Amino acid sequence: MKKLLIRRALTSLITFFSAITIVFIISRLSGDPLAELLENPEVSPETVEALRRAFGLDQPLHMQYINFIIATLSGQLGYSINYKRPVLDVLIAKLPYTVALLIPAITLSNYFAYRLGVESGWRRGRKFDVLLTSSSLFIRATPHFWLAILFLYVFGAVLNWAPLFGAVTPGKVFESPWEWLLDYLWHYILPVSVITIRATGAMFLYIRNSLVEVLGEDYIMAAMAKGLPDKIVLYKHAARNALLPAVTMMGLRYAFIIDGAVLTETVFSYPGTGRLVFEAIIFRDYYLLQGAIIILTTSVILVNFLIDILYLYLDPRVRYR
Amino acid sequence: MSRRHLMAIILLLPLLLSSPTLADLASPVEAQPYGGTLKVALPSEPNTFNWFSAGSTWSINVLIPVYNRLFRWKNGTLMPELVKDWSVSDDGLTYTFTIHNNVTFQDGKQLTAEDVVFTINVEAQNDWPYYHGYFAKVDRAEVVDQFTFKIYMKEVDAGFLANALAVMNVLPKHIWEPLLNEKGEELAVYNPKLPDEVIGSGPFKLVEYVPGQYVKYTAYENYWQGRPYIDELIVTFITEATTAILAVKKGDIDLYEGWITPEVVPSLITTEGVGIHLYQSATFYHWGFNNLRWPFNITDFRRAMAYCVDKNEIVNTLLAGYGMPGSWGVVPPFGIHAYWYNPNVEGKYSFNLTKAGEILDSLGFVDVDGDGWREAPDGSDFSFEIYPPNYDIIRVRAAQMISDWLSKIPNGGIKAEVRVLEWKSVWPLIRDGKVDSYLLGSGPGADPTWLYRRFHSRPGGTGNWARYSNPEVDQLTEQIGKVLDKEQRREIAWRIQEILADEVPIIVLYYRKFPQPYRADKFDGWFKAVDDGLYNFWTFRYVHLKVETTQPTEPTQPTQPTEPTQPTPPPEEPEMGTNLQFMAALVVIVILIVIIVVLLVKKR
Repeated sequence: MKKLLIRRALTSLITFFSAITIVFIISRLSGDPLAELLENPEVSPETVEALRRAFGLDQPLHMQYINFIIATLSGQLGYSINYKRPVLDVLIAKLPYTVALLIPAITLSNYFAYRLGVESGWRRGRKFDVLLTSSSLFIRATPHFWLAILFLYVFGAVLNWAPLFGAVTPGKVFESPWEWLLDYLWHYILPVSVITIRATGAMFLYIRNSLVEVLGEDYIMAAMAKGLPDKIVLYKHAARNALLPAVTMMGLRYAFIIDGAVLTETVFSYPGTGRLVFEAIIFRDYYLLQGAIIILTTSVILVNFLIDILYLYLDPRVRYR
Repeated sequence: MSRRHLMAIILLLPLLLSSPTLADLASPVEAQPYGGTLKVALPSEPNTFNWFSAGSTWSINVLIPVYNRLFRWKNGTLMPELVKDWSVSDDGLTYTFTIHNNVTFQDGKQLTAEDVVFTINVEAQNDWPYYHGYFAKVDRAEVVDQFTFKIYMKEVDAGFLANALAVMNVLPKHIWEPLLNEKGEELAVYNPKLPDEVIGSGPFKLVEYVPGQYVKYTAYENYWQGRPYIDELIVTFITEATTAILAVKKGDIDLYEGWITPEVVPSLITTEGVGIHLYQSATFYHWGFNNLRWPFNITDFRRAMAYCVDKNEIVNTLLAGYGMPGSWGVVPPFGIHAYWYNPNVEGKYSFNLTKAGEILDSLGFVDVDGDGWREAPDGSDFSFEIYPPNYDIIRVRAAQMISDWLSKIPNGGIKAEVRVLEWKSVWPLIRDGKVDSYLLGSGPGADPTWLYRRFHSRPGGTGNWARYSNPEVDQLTEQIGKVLDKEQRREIAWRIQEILADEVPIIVLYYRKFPQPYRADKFDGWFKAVDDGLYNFWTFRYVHLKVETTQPTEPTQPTQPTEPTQPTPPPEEPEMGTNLQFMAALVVIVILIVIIVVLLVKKR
């Protein structure tokens, strides 16, 4: 088991390195961040050169890469070209908003997907199942930003239940923390719903299909033959086994949820890391993009690593192999 | 309603929308009510509050309410702001300025010549400030007495006031000098602490910034020109134009300072209380020729091209009327450029393919083999390329229209191939002079000295992408930066435009117009410049709550003129509405189902 853990840790490390290398290459391919300045008549070429030196962009590419790796390993994310501040500062200001969106969204969506998927798989082929499966297919097929804009239009503009943008009412002075929390939650509900619904729709299908497969196994038949109640058969025998492949998917889906957060935050003008990534791409802010992606990739790798460990407990076979 | 009807409405809109009149521009001298919070949305947030290095539009924008300048543009006129009196020496090398003596910073300290001199010297003596290029010809600035200072120039720069002093915010020396001493060149990347280090003498005091969300300002009670009417200004950031438009319609924000597509204008002006300000952008979108390459090095060939372009058609169809046909003399005829614009170049060429054919005949470009295309004078087949940027569909379509017109020249067309490639790979080719022709959008500067950048044939001259070379234009564009007399400069500018119109180094196709939504029911006193959006210094000073009694249902600008077409737009609205409502219903149903299912599951 120790060996397994070490191997997992090693693969995670390799994944991390490949990921940051890809980020480095892609951000360089996206063009010169100072190109627009060069075209601007108001900026002298000397200014651009000074900036280039200040950001280390005058060095050859391989030197930039080596510096980048060294800096990353020592925990330095560099200086944002656009914000002219350390990347970490910029990120830390926005990270809490994203974390607050992601954790409930992931928990809720996995819980919903699990309960609904199991129940739906149990009643496979019946109206309940058909309805849920088709609606989750529908949710899966809608583009993320489309769903976000639709929610915005319906609940924000037509029904006027929720605000259209931001994380709190701009400029509002709050009498008490409770008032702030209320205002925050009011702004929070739409983006978190969008992410949760999308994630549930995607996850639901895996769990349902996995359960349907398990239900065909002989031991389910045996359990039923023993005369066990349906609920026990479903949750103790079938669901536990069906969950195994689904747990792997949860880890993989996590990356898609982050991707969804980028789009949702952009549509709702939410001040999180997702919108920061969007802006970093627009402004070709290499270091910010790198920093944000390093943080996000690390979280994806970490989540997958944790899931691998979780697997050890869920599936005794892995432990004894 | 058919598509064509909708098109017609969209086409008519720009004509119907209010254009700024003189009445709009008159300063509101009469007393207006104080109070109210103005909420403005920008598409993106500022990246720094350090004005010295602020380069992005948004960073410059969020500092506009905070600082004063020595001079400022007001709808095409350069107005002294902090400057009370000024003079320039006969040789044009020494400026003497006297500034107002009742200006205070928001921390209570007086604004003196020390502050102005400090700001100018930082700009002039370091190469990292964003506007350093404008101050390149400044030798130094010196304090004479508390409210008087002198600027010594290395060489004459006739555009100095309009270019440099009209963009320069005056920063407090007592805050920035210690920072400069401490950080040195590092100040370029320093982001000042908020709100204590962002102190200006402007009408609004920056009180709070929440990253990614908003900047909050309050009126500066002791503002030297009298406090602004509104109490609070909130600038928020909305990434998606769709979201921003909904927010204006709902009344959550009062002004959106971002780009919206003309297609949404009908739905905006039918929304009660929403007004549209239409303004001209001075960026000249042009068909540029490489004047060094054959056949574009033949002046008559370029003239023939001028007869093949129907600018009105491009503006009416491609821009749906949201634009103005380009001037043959390049200089835009409106806003801050109006003074320099030479109206005599108007109608120099008209869309006339027959005439183009005659010129081409005389040059020897004749269809000798009868295949419908003209051959080069030596009898060989010839064609040239037009490169529009792939990200701008309007310019791609414009290139296709030009190519189409060229193919229709009587007695044989000219073959022009439109090449739509990744712009990143095309741009270096244009820069290095390796393509025949291209469609570019370039911005003119505030002072006609920009003509030097665009049309002077200096070696390695960036900006003169057309590689135009004419000794007289070279001499005139140099001269316009050195002559100080305004009348004389205008004569030079006129002469340059005459030559440009005659020799056609580039053909300006259009200047674009942008619609901007704002709440006309809550606030009055918006400052509507011909060539600028409503987000400007003057708006912040003049805007005030609408007075109900004095203006009984004042015609809210755009809705009134559109009355005749009113019956037509609604049919399109429900159509879009039902689609959305249908989808909304679908989503609601899905959610309901999920809730029911969860309840069912719980029951088991």
